[in-house]
Order: sequence, then structure tokens, then C-alpha cells
Amino acid sequence: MTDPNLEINPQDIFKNFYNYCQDCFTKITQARESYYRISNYTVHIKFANETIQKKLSSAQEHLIIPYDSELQTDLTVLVWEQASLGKPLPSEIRSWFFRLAKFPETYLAPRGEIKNGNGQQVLIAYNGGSGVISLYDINKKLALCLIRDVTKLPYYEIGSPLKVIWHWLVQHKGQLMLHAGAVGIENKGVLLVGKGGSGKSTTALSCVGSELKYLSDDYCVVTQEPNLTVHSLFSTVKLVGENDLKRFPYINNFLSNLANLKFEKAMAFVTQFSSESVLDQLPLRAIIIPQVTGLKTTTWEKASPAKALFSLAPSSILQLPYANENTFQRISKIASELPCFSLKVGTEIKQIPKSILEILEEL
Amino acid sequence: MKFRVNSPTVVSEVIEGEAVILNLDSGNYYSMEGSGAIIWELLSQGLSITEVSNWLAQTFKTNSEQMINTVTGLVEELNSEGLITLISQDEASPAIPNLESLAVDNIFVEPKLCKYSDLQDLLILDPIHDVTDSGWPKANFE
Repeated sequence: MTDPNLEINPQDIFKNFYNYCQDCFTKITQARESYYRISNYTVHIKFANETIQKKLSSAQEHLIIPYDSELQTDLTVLVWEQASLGKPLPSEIRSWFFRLAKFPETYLAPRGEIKNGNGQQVLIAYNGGSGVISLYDINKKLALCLIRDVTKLPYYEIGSPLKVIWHWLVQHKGQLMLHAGAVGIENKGVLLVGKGGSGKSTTALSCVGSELKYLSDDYCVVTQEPNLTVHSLFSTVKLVGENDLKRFPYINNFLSNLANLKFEKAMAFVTQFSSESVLDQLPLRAIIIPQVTGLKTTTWEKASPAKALFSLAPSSILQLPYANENTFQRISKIASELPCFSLKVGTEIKQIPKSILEILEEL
Repeated sequence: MKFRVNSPTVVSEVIEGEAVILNLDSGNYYSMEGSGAIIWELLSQGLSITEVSNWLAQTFKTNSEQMINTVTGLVEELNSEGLITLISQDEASPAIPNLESLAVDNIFVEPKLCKYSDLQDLLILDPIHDVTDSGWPKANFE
């Protein structure tokens, strides 16, 4: 059904949310701030209180940098939560939310982005499952993240906090956020690509404690200038099912969502149990496509760039609002330029990093 | 009839003889190898069904009518998936690119469009239609 009073003005929507957030922040004294560095980008995040800061920082502790008065930030993000902080939504926002709910087909594209936002100054995306709305004004270098109820945030939002806003920042800078794991040694990093359940997390976690360093299991940033480089974004690792937890028994002591394992993937932060294993960035040298086999032994072989593109692009683009043809072409370029390998992941965990090291020796 | 890729909804790339295609609205993604990738490449460059068929018949030394049936069948499938759209007949045909290196064996194999729908749960295909008391749009599971 189409809204008969169709009106899409992203700038006005941003202004209403910004005024609300700004007004909220001026009336509190318990706000907390952190500065983060990824690649050359510095991001300043202001959280409404320490509880929200702690919840949304665990995955990115390794990226926090000390405050310096000479810091030049690429983006400032205000993070507010409504339920516990109790400030009611103003009528302009309630009215817009009402129209969004009444006529979602008019306003919302399938990835939650607000239509007519792509390529404009203001980007907006709403995730109903999380109760999170993200807004980004490119020219103002300002983003807002409004959470409905932080106690009801799904585990994946805590594991990949502000994922949409990070994606918009790097996309605006002409770089890529990818649905991929990443590991490596010295000057050789590899992407681990594939849809959920393909074995990225198992492969990435198996490298912790080995010669290989860990950068990510689910999302990472790839910059292309001056050289292809992969950057850690979240230190989160997520495992599915009892078998995974049996393969990595030490993880049980560090799970952040132990009480919810019936409904959620098991989640931990590598910085909390093996901070020396986590690396910020590596030159990107290859793409690996893991595939869990259920057999004992891990083997590998060369793969086609089309297979790498097929394993990387759909799951990256389909979950990142406003990712578009340019995103696809950048991903395609990476898949064409890098050697690609299939990794048939076996159940003997120690063989996995060994096989990746063999691949790295080929490069 | 001439077609173009249904962009920006559909994005695609042909790498080393394999087409990877993604429909951003439906969440479906596709692959085609061999003759399918060639046909996709030619169609996306604006060649008509007849021009594509003639090129295939010449390259693979097969029957033109058979090629027209093959290409027409694939075009119908691509169109029904929302991957291509019809364009004006007035547009001039581009020069045919040199794709002979893709026909490695010079043996024509029927094209096959492989479709994958396993990532559709990443999309909001059943949007919300109500608000909560606090004014937020209601999630589907509430």
C-alpha cells in the first residue's frame, strides 16, 4: 500500500532525530565517549551512559585509542537508548515512525534502508528485529544510532555494534566492509568467505593460539589504497551448536551470552581470552573459501575467482544497506586480483591453521 | 527483442567465463557457466535475441533455429526472475565483442541458470505494519 501523503525528506528526518538526541545528551551527566581507529579513520562515539558503552564496546576494545586534543575525527556518532533513559519520542519522530509502519513498502527497501536515501547526503536504515535506527549525514560527518531498548538488543548487534554505520563510513570513503573472516601472518592476510554456516568462524577460531593471527570471523574492512589491506573491525567470534563448543572447550569460560544459547549463537570476544592473537591489519593476499566437510582431514585446492565472488558478494551486499553496483564491482575486482582457494575443513582442528599456512607459502 | 540488465536492482559480473548475478530486491543470486555466461554477456551489452542466436550458431557451428529456441528460453527465464528488462528497438546494436576465447571446446552445451535463495532471510521481505505504545514500529515477531 502506498502512502497517499508520500513525503521522503531524509534531511528533515535526520534533523528531527538529531534534535532529539542532542536534547537528550544535554540533559544527562553520565555520557561516555571513546575514540576508535580503523585504517586511517578516526571515529568518536558518544554513548548515553556507561552501561550502553560497555555493551557496545566489547567487540571493539582493540580499536580504542586514547583521546588526544589534536585528533581529527572522520565521524562522530551519538548512541542513545530510549527505554531505560525514558525520554519519549517527539511527535515528529512518532509521526514518521507511524508512516513507516503503516506503509513500509513505500519507505523501506528490503535491507531496511529508507528509499531515496542512496547517493544522497543522508543515509537511514531501520532494523525492526533489533529495534535500532541508524542515520548518517555524510556532509556533517555525523551519525546517530537510536536503540529502542538496549536490554533487548540481539546478540548479533552486540557482536557487531553499529555495523551499518561503520559500513556507511567505509563505503563513503570508497572502501569496503565485507561479510568475511580474516586471519594471517606477518605480511600475508587472507579473507575467509562464505555464507553463514560455511565454516568461517570455525576456521578463524582454529587459528587463535597458532602461528596465525586473528582479525575477524564475520565482518572486516578492506581498503584498496595504497595496497589491498584487510582491517579488523570486531574481535567477536560466534559458534553454532554443541559440536563447535566441544571443539573449542576453552571458549565456554568466555561466552558473553551463556544464558541464551538455546536461542543464540555462542558468542565471545577474542580480545578477552587471547588478546595477543588479535591483529589490527594485514596486507591482503588471498581469498579462502572454507567448507565444512564433516571428515577428519582438512585439504585445500585452488578455486576460481568466480567462486570467490559468489561466496563473498551476495552475503556481503544483501546485509549492508545501500550497498550497490559499485560495491559489487569493487568486490569483483578483489576476487579477480587475488588468488583463491577452497578449504575443505575437517574436524581435526589443528590441521586447519596448518593448511592455511601451506596456502600462504604458495603466495 | 533487446534487453538490458535490470540495474540497479540487479548487479552482475562475468569472471573467467562464469556469470555471478545478484538481485538486491529478492535476495536471490545466480550463476551461469559456459554458454549461459556468454549469452548473459551478449544480452547485457544490448544485443537482440536474434543477434545473440546468430553469433552462437556461427561460433559453435550449430543450427540457428535451435539457438533461437535456446536463447529465447533462457531470456524468458531471466525475465521472469527480474534479471533483465526489455529495451527500445530503436537503440543501435553495439559491436559484438570478441568472446571466442570463452568457447574453449567449440562444443555447445545448453545454458543453465542456477538459482540460490538461501540468503533471503537477510532481507526484510515481510515488513512491519504496526507501532508500539512507545511509538516505535513493531517487529514482526512481537
